[in-house]
Amino acid sequence: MVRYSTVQVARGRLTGGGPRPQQEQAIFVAYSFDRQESETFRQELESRLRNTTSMRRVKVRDGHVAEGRPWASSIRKRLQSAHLLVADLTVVEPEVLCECGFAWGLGCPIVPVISATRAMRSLPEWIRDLQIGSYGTEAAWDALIDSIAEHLNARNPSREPVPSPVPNQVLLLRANGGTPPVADQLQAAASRYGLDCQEADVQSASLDEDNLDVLWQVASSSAVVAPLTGTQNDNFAFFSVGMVLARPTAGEARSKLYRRIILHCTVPSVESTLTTTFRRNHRSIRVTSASTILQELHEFGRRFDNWRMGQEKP
Amino acid sequence: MPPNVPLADALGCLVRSGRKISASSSDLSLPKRNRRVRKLNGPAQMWYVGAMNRSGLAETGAHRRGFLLLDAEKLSDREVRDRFQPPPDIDIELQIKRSVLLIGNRGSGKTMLLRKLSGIAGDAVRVYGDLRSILNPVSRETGSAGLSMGMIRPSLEGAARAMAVSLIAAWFADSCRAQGLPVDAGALQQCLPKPEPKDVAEAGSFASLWSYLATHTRVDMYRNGPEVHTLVKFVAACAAQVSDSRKLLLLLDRAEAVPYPATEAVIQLLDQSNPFIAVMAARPGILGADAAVSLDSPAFGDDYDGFHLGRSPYSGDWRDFQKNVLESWIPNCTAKIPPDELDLILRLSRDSLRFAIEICSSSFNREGLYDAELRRKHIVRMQNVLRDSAQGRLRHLNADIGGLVRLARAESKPSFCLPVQVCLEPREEQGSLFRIGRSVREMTLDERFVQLALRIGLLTTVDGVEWHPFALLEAVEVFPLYIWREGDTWCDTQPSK
Repeated sequence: MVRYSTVQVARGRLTGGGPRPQQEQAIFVAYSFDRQESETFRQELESRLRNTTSMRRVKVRDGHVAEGRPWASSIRKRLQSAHLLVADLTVVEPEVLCECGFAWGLGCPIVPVISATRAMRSLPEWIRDLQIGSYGTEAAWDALIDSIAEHLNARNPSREPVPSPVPNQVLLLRANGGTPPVADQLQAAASRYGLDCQEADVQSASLDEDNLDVLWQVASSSAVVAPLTGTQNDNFAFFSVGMVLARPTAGEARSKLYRRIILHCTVPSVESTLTTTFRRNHRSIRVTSASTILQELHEFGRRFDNWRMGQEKP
Repeated sequence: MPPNVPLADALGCLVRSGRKISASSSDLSLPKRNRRVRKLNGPAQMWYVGAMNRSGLAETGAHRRGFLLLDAEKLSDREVRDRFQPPPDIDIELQIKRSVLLIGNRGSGKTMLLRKLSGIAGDAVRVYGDLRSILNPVSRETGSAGLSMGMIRPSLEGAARAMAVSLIAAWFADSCRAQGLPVDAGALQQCLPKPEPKDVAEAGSFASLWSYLATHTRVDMYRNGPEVHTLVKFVAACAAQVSDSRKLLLLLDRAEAVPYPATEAVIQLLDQSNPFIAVMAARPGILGADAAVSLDSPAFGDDYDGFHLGRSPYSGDWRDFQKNVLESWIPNCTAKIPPDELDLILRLSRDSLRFAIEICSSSFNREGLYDAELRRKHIVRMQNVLRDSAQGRLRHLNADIGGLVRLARAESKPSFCLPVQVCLEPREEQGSLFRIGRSVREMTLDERFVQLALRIGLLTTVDGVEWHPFALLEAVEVFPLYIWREGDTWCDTQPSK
């Protein structure tokens, strides 16, 4: 047996740099199950990644859940372990936007893509602040694969971390410059429980790193009141739902204060178009009409009060 | 050679920078630097200098500094038969029955063994190829070479792999034709890019199909294949056309130079289920990451064998082997070198026989007597060349290789002595830091550094550890020649604590 003198070298010392991301990498593909084109995109993406030597082991996940499994929590777990979200926004759907918001709230980079035949103008303006990928042509596919690799191999996060939610922060989102119904009463109710109520305009929302104010406000609020008007402005509300679900609790106390997003339908027909994700009686999501919005805020106020007094049970 | 022959005569076959040292001349002075000789006649044919830039120190630029460059690839069959010394622990007679991956450091005798294996293969049909040359167009097109581990655009990786398939198939077809062997045109067609290049009809006018593909196709043209399995099918189809009594022996050298997207295509050739035998030579640190990723890649041990030349380089067996090799190239030299000096040379050379020959041959003065001062100066020059080379290749991962050497000297425990092993902190999640079975892009920078340093020769596996494509290394050794200074002690000569 040869005797050696031994040098113990810490991680990164050989190269002078810190460690790279070390887990096996995974991407989540958010797409519309109902559209054949979108389904094909997902299969083609996985096929091309398998054909790329350096990304052959990248796991490709989506929202398909085996029968009998709790789909909502399964999808959340998959999103939490994903390193990148690729979203097919050829047709903008609430579910896909919700998954985008979830990923964004976790600090996971998003690569929005659309079909080569789809006009980019059809996308919400705030999404267009991100570079939009496309698929359908060889050159577009190549660029997309390279972008995915670049994101997965980035040594540093591409943007600042999302701020933590502040327990007493309430945000009222305005659509089209208008104010939420019973805004004054909401302000009054919030102040009654010691909540700090702020307002933000959906049309000011942006994913541009230099203009993240509205997104930062959503991320740092414990309760968000968002209108559903049946217009393109609703897309941001769906995105916000994802952000809230990504970090469902606020504060650092032993007991948890669950965040809440209150979606109030200003147009009755909107409620019927919402999918199960939003109609589900999740503790963080409330879909209400204008008449019950105040009650929802009161309920959150009481929960906040209890939490502050250390009485709320998780 | 009789023992009373002067050493200068024994060195008659050696050439230093193009100057043949004749038996009548005892002039061993260093030659003119810029003089280049490609090929020499007579017994000196085995030595190549400078411009060949093919092996050993040549790739470090040493040819500009007056080093001897030994290239076993250029030896005649007779010279191989005369000079070859069997490495310890390897029964080459038995192992030729199955595909083999030969692993060894620079100058450890891989090519020599490869050629010896081909020589004892009876009437087998032998096809020899240098993978670096064969796949050079892939490196040229993509900028990724095995010894630089350059990353290429991910979207080009599939095309690079397909291009490698076509080039290997084309080279194999050319080699078969040169030997008068039948080529299965249908199977070859499957290995060519689709759609075919426009002027494929002109291919016949080229000296070889390989040169046609190398000059008339670009990596972009390989986006739609061919698949890796078509290469194996093609070689198998050609092997089937060789008569039953003759085996097809595929000898592939310098697998360390294969660009990483192409490793899968190369390693598939080693599968034992193929109707031919492949023998592939490579340095440690290669054919791991990306070959291991594919689930249908042949598995080391199960589907092919592996030899690690110099696995125990400090053992008595290897020491005897080193001496035998030195004697076969420079007769009587071991008797003329003082035992402690010989011991130092053999330890510093470790598993590199080429380094041992290089140092020995440079340590004799004009009178043919051993000179320790000449030896010291020559080693210092070699160290400078080797460190410069390592720094050049590893610059993108570590800008200060000298700092790493200083670190090893300063922080060795219990105290600095040679050899030095480097143990790195393991990965956080699982396994060892040196986990090989992952894609190049998944590796940490440390792992990438270790892989590349293993290929270059700055680091090597510790004594007794065999490298294979799925190896989990917990520690690596710094090659002694890189770190040694005059007066350094060796751990086994120090009193045990």
